[in-house]
Amino acid sequence: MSKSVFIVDDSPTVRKLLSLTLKFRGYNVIGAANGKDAWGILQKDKFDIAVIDIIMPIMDGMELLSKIKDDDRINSIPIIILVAEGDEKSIRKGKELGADSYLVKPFQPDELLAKVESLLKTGEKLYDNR
Amino acid sequence: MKNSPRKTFGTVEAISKIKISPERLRYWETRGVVKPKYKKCGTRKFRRYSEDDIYRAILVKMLVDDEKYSLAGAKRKLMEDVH
Repeated sequence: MSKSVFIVDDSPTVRKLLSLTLKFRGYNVIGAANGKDAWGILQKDKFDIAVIDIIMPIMDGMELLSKIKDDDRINSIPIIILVAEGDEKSIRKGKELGADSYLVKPFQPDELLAKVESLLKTGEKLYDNR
Repeated sequence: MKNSPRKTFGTVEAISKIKISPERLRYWETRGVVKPKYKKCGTRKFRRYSEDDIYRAILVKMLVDDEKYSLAGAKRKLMEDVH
């Protein structure tokens, strides 16, 4: 059965890039445009992994990450955060809040697939593999 | 977290992030894949690409190079609704 990936980013172009990259490799993909919508979806659907942008309107990625990790029902979902180039502060904070890995934007499709596949296969924490 | 100001990229930075040649990126501009703004500096004009331009180009590159779409087909895919 296909693995399901939850993608959260306010940019329709980035969501499309994430979605198509993953769908072409056989993943089921569901998306949301902000943290608030994402939190609603997470209350009813289950996912194998989530890719979450940090800078979003309404509820940003850090707040969403924090809520996920505080919820015993969903806090085991591996999470990759998307951070801006040079945003070391967000990388550190994401790690503190429990993110499993991060991708620096703009990313290439193969970088995304490598991180998703690695996390799904081994559960390996990629935070220190920079 | 507050949104940071929208960042733009010059041609050298853009081709490095997209991983394509400058000629291909200029051709894609003529086909409407990317729509850089032009910034005047003296008598010269320089292209400035938005983050959206960068992602559109990365997406089109994946569709054309990896998934064997035509450029027209990749552009249509760009216009489709997504989650």
